[in-house]
Amino acid sequence: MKGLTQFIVDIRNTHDQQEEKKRINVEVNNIQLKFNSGLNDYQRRKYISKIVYIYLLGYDHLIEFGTKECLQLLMNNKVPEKQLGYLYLSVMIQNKGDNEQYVNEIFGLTFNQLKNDLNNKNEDINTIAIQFISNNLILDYKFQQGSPNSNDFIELIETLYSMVISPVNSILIKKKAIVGLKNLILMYPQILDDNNWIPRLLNLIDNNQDLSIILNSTKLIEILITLKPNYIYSIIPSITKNLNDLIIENTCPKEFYYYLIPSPWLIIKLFKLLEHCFLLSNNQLMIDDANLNNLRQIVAKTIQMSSKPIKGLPNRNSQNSILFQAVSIAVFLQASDEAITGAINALIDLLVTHDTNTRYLSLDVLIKLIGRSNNSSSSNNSSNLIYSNLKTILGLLNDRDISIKRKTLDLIYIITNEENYQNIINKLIDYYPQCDIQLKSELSIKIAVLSENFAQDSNWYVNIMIKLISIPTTNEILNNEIWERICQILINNHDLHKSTTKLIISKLAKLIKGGEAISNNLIKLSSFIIGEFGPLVKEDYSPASQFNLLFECYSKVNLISRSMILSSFMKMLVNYPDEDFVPNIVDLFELELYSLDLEIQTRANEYLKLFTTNNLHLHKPLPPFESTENHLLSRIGNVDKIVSGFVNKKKIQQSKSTDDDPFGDEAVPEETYPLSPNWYNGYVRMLNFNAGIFFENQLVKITYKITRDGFNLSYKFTIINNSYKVSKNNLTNFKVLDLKSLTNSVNPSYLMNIHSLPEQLITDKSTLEMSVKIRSVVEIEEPTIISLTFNVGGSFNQLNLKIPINLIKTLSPTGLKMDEFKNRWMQINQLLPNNTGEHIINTNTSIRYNSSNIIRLLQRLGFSIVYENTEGILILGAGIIQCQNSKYGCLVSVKSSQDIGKQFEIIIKCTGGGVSQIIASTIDEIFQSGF
Amino acid sequence: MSIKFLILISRQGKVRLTKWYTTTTQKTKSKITKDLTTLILSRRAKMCNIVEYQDMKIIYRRYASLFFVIGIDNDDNELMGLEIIHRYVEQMDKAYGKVSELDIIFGFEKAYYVLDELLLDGKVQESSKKEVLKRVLNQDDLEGSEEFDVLIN
Repeated sequence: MKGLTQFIVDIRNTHDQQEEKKRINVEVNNIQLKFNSGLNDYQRRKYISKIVYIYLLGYDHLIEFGTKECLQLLMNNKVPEKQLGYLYLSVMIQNKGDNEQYVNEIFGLTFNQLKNDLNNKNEDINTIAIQFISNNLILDYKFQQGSPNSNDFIELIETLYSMVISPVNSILIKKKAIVGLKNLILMYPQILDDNNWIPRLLNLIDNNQDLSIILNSTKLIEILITLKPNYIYSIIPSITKNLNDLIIENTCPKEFYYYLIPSPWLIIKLFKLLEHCFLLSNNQLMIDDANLNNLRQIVAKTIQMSSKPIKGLPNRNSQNSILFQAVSIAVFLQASDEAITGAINALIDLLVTHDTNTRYLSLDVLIKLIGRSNNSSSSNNSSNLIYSNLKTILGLLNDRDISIKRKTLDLIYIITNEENYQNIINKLIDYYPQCDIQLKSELSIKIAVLSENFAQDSNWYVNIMIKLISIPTTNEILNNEIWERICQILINNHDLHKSTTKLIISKLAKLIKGGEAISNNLIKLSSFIIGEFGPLVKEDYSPASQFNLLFECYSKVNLISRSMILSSFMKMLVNYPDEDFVPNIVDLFELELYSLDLEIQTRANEYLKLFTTNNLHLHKPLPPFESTENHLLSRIGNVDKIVSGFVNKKKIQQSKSTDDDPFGDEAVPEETYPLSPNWYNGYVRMLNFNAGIFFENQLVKITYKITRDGFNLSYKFTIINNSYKVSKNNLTNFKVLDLKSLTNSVNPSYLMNIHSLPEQLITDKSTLEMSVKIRSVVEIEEPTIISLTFNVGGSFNQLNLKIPINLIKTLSPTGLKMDEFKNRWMQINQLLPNNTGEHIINTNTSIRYNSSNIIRLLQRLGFSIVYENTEGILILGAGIIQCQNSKYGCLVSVKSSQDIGKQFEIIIKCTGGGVSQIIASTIDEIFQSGF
Repeated sequence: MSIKFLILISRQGKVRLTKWYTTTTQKTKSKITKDLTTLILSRRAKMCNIVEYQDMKIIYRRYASLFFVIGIDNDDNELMGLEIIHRYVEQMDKAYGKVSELDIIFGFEKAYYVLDELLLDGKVQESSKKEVLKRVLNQDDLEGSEEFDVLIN
């Protein structure tokens, strides 16, 4: 476009801002005129291009027109026209995105066009539209249901979702749609509550057709698991597998190699996703042994690889970035101390390399490594290990690069502990005078906070602080917080008053005598201390000498310090009304009435009035300082941020629940899965038998076997591919999506642990093993729901099944004689009043049972039979329920009532309150369903 | 890895290309651009390529007369950011055939196009060099046919 090129050349040739502005104004007028007369396609493109260019130059206020022309461009079916139209829109939205009304307006105008373009048969047009969504619709506010465009908006999300999961779309479309979908979900997270999308979306990470799909889906998955943390568990195997391929196998499709390294970007993203999983679950992530070992191997391999030299800067950079990322998750893998030590040593070696970036990042990772160690002993070990290299680290404080110096300070800050604080603080104070000006304030704050945190001797603290603030600096205003903080601490600690005052007076006297420069901060602190606590030391230092010290300094310090000295003089007038120096003070006040500085003038005037009108009694002693907050901490820098990582749950969840939530995160509304049809048979079978079929349909059969050992139960599920016999299909992407235990999460009645997960690809069969530890009484409403997802052929399947985690499984037989039984039977009623130890149920069965049936059942459940009579049916049994926290005796009596063999009265007695009811209803359930 | 913005600054301090992946007002944009220009131009050659600025990290790298500057989150992987810049330059090199500053000034739409294929929403969407080039060539074809249409009409 010639006109556009000419316009750019013109602007480049302008000599100053004025001329440029003039040229642009001319052009804006011109464009406006042209828009009012008719335009052909070419002209429209040219002028819109010019508008965009003007906009990009920063003259955004000039342009309030062009939307209409832009819409016409969008309606055109040629790709370049559309592209320009979307470019115009994106530039506008990028600049006015914070204006909700504007965005809504634009959205309303363009929605139909956007929808058409997404559904267009031309892939190029699809990509432009998706690209527009992905790049621009990342706005800070949430879309509310019921807002004018909300239906359209939901339709848009649904369109993108179907593009993502559609099997026919090309990879190009899919990968872009994933990013777009992610943005839209962020703006309207409720959509996930209304639809069961997550399982399918999580499958994106298993995509083995093309790495770029995985690359693009990591962020989406990160958001999904942040919104629904219960899915975290299900993606770990997939992450591990992908990392395993890239790092242990060290391969990927050829075009994804970056120089010699297989897709470093993907590796980093996967590591980050993993890190996010750990941070989200507060270090309580359940990982089965196989995957945990695999992950440890991956980290070990990365550390090992990094020690091998590799040629070329891009290779080195990629390799190091992978190392840094791997080390920052090493802490979460409960790695052994040796592994951590190895990692730290490797990093310390890197601290002295020539490459500045590597030095910087090694520091960064060391900080993370220490900050994230979850228990204090291992973090102390690591700190000490680094501390033993303190010399190397202090050397870095003299690096040429300020970024490195700053990071080094952060590292030193974080390795400080009770054992080494004195040495470190002294070293830092020594370093202070030669420190860069930009870093001084940060350094002094770090020293102050460290001293306050670790000081065990308050005199030591005061000493260090006075040492710190006596160092003259140029940007003192920044450091007001420090002497203020010292004052706050002094006021509250009476035992410090006297010694500190002595110390500061002698320090000041020495400085004045030696004619050395006195820092303003020291003066501020001294004038405060002498004014407040001077009378405490008047035996050692006469009031006159105290006055002389401050008076001498008065002319040498800046205005703010002077006004503070005036205040302490006023306090002296109150404390020593009869001293010789009183006239001097009054003279000074009178003199300062003519000061040019408003603050000094005001103070002088008011203090003089108080004195001349004899109102000095208005002066009151300082009240104790009450705020417990330490303002210094807010200025400590970014150490905490590094440590806590990037989990910003709140930001994403903002719109989720607006009502106040007394239990915080725990009470996020639980999702209830609709259970799969036919779940009940397997559920009851599991109550009754210790092995059998848990679930079966045309595609899969799941069998189970339970091994009981007191309160430790282990479950072994075998997943058998049923479809293989019929259609030779494999089960692919087999995942345990969720294992949701409905037990109370604060004090769970049982703990689950998965030992091995089934293979993702099941041709014949695979096993899932888990163990359960029963801690205390498990209520009937606390079973576990397991969700499994898998693909067969092209179809996506999800199974939600209930696993009974039941108290009755901990029952073990106990040999009891008849008379003992009788005694216990009576005892329970006395022990637990109001029949809480006893529960009676009457149950009808559909089939007739004889006593041997029932004896077999009771023995299978874990009762020993104490008594049986064969006519009529009466069976007594006894057993012990073992939880980790307690044991309960359990007695049972099954008696057939009127209709023999079909109607039973079952009495359960238990030594624990409420336990009998649980056992009774379990047994009732078994009777009802037939056994 | 989330890139907040990419700015190309010439050694004279002129901005050659910008791309923002977050909604930012023009005012903050110009402030950041101005700050970074002074900050980065004043750094010496051997210093590290990472600077902390506000609550983000700035990664920059110099190619001939141009500084490529990106802003990333504090917790992002810096070296990877550096390599993203490198990949972008490599790809532009291929797309333009020996890229120079002037190429970017006059053919900025192509620079944006390469960028859009490499990054989406501030994240690497395609690390395969071949794929990006294919898309860019495709785009060239489309532009070409358009010019052709204009000639016929």
